Amino acid sequence: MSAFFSRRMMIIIGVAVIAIAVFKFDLFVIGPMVNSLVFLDKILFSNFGLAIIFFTVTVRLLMIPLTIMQTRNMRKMSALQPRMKAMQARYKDHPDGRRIQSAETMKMYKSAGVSPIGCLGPMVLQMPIWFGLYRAIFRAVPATPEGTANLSTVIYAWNPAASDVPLGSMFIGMDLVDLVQNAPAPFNFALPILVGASMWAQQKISAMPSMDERSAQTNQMMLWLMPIMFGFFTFQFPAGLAVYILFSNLIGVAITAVISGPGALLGTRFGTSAATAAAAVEAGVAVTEDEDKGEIIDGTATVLGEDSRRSDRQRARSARRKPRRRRSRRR
Amino acid sequence: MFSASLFILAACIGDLDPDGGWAAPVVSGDHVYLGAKDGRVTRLDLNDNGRYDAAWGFPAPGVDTLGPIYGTPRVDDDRVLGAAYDCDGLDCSATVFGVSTETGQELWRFERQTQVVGAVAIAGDIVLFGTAQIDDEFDNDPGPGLPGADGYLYALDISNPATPTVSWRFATTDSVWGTPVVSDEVVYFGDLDGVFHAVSLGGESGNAGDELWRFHAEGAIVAAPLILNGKIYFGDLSDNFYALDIETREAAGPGSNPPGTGEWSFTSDGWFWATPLVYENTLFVGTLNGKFYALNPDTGAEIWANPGEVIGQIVGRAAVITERNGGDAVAVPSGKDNIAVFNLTNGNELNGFATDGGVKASLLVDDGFLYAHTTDDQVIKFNTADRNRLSCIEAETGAAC
Repeated sequence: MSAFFSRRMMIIIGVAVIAIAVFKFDLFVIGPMVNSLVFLDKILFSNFGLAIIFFTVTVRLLMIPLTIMQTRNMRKMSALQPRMKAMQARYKDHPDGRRIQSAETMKMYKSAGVSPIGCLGPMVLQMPIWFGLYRAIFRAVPATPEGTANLSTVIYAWNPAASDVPLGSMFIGMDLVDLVQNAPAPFNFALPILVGASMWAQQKISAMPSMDERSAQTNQMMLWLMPIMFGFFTFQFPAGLAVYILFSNLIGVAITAVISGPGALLGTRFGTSAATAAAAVEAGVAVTEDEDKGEIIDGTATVLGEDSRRSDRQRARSARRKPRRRRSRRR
Repeated sequence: MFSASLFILAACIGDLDPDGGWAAPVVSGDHVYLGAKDGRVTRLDLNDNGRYDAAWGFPAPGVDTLGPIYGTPRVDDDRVLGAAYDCDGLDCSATVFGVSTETGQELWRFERQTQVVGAVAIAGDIVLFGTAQIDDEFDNDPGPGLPGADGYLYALDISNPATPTVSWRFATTDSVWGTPVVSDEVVYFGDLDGVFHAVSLGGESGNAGDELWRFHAEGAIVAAPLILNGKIYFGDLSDNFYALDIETREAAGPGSNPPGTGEWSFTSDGWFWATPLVYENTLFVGTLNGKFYALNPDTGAEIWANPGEVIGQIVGRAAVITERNGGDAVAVPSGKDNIAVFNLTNGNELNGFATDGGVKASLLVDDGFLYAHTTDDQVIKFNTADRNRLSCIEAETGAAC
């Protein structure tokens, strides 16, 4: 029931966030962010670069509950992968295989307390925040008369730093509004490299291993391709955006390392049976040889022929039994 | 997901590009001159029922334009003076130019790697304009300013059009976006650091380029000041509107910020960008949150104000129009569609002028007609008495809207 509520709450929150993002983005997202940045600029020695860094780190820290939720879901899904693959193999040649696979997948998710939305939801929730932060940075330091005039629509009159706008945009010798390629050396090439490297680290530490060889290859390719592409794109980004992405990635790596352990950067988190089993146990998924009549060897599963639906029923029964036992003990 | 969102963000980067469309139409002789968004100066022929003069234009068709024009072009004798700028990132290039009203040919141009947002002012053969920081410092730009200042007021000598030269320049601590205004051998302007300057143009007021006095406002100053009856009126981006007394300020000298005789300030709940208008001892000015005020110019007391939600951002100056019954009203351009019209004495809203886009340029009223340059780069001509739209053309091309 609690899982149901959490899923429903996630959907409600997600829909609400998207609605806000679409209809009242300036009011609920941009306004608070711009005013925070302007205020931070004032208290951080009129240094907009420090304001961006402080604000980015704070926002990422505030989103830790979402990150934890996302990481837990990813772990659970990772732990389910051997069983999923086995189930897919079992029904591969079945005439109604697709439908059964789909139903079985949902059953597995349900019994393990995994919500596909639980993985996607936090990301969806974070999207307006990322987008808002980007927009807020450039709304707070407008480069054009139009931007300056539009700034008036989001600055609160009671903001003690309101009279300081438009803010200065210089930070350690570079203009945060100007393109990275126009920044003085070494920032013009160091920023793209740092952005690419931090993005690689972020993807590496938060990547979920795939049981499917083709998916694993794609993931491996994306692990390198995206950072390299973004490194090149960064030349065309305003420096403030590059600073934002860099620190967002760095704090993301740090948070994930604290939650999941730094081993992921070294490729030891999800890749072994021990790790998978540990993750499964931690995630509360009863993946045992006894239940599934299968064994897990180096992250791949070998099914010994028992109907997984039966194990699902067993698991459901045992889940129902547990509370009763607890109540009887109290008596 | 994060990467995907950043791709979307990357596609949205366009905030650094100036747009323009804030230059008001200006009438001179038989023509109305326009500064289009693409940096082209065009004109309408009033002798030909306000038709677009296809034979006249700067730069000529087929020649690269100079970038968006924000400041209203200034017509002086037989020349049109203006400024435009364009940017690649923050790598901006500004051009100040003089064009023959006769032929449309370029008389001179002056280029620097900077932004020029405001209009130019002219004092004899000296053209004055404000700039942001100059990206590439030129050794031949003389003046008291330290190299690398964050903004300048340039005084350009165009007595020899073939070689316009920098007569002097005045360094400021932030960009000068506002239009400078000249009165009695003194140029007045504000900067984004919130400092309002009075700088001598030479003659009896002092040495050219010397600061006579300065005033520290609470917020950045982008509005062009209005000078009337010994007073200077302007607003800032911190909700304040000021009236300063020139005589008291000049007597106090530089480096001081004393309250002058008869000075006042008025606090609104919106930023002031528009230049005020004074008509029949009432001062009219609007704010960026759409409030339009009628104030007593001697005391700053509010006479009336409209509800803010009626109109959008007020960037351009209002204009007084004559109604069908012979009475006067004030027309107010705003960032939303339509030009609002208010009763002069009580602020009651009257029938407005229907436009297809916002109007951030000041309004031009001439001979019973109102001309509005919209943010969509259309120039619309109205009959002020009945508000009827008489014509509409695209400023860049002259095509009918």
